Amino acid sequence: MAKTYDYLFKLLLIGDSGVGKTCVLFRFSEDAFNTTFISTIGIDFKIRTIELDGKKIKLQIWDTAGQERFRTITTAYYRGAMGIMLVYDVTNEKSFENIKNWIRNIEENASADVEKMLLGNKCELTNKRQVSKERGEALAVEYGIKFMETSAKSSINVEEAFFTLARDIKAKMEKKLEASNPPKSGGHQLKAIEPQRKPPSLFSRCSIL
Amino acid sequence: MSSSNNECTVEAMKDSEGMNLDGVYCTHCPSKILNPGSAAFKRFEFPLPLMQYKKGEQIDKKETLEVFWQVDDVMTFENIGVSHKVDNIKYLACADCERGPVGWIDADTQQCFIALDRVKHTSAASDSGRPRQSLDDFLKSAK
Repeated sequence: MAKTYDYLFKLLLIGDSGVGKTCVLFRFSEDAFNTTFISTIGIDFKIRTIELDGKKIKLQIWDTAGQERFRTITTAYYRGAMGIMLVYDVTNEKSFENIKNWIRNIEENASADVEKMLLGNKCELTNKRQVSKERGEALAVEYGIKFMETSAKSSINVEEAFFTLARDIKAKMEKKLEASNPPKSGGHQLKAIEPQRKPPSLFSRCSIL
Repeated sequence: MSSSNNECTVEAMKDSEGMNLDGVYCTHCPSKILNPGSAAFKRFEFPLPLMQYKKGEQIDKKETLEVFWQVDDVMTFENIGVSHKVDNIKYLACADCERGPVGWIDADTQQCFIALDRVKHTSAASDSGRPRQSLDDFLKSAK
């Protein structure tokens, strides 16, 4: 069957244990219930479909499956990742301080041009807050990445965060495609019917319809 | 006997090519699992772990189901959660509320199956699922 989507982006959720990475993976969290067969064996990844500028984008979102407890994540997990959500818990100072370590881990293991975004999760817990929004913003500026405070529990900004990351990856990808297939000057060629050059190997699973 | 096993009901769910006529949704939340026309109807017996358990009930208790939608590539799903592998099977759950298993992936063939009895079928005309947000809508709502 023909592919029914334009792009496929592999995204990772990274951060300390307990920051709510798994919760960020679902939208109707208040609906989620406790012990079931699925919660016992655990979710490996999720597929989500979104639409950006009329393009259908499949997001394949991977959770770290507890690897983060060892404070490091293997290269295999990072392979092919195009976007990374760095998640900390605004009520947990340590999880915020560890973001720097996670960024180092990403630099050592992931592709250099992986798109990153910083998320301060659990922003609904105003009484327990230890990390101000300003500090989150400052850290994001330091690393030149985008920042949002989210609440997986109250469904604040979670979808927006994934849209933002997906849009940035798409923009980066289209820029790359353009660079590898520059519009020809001279004006005699019918550019509109030129076949699209294949995207770089990193994006080999993505097709442009 | 479950409703989907009724011949008339099953026939009404297929299009002329034996694909799903309606969109496939989670039974508990508005999450869309499959677009119309994206999965092929299959009939065989397969034991699937229960969706819900009574307290103290064994967690691996199964029921045998008979009618499924088959998808050859996991990327065909609009939204789906994929579990870790157990005995060469990855179970499928709703991507939003994680209720499941609604189906499974055979790790050898990579074929995916959704049990008709564990999902909701909604035609486009009465589509109550949440429409996907476009970037424009997103930017408007962000203002």
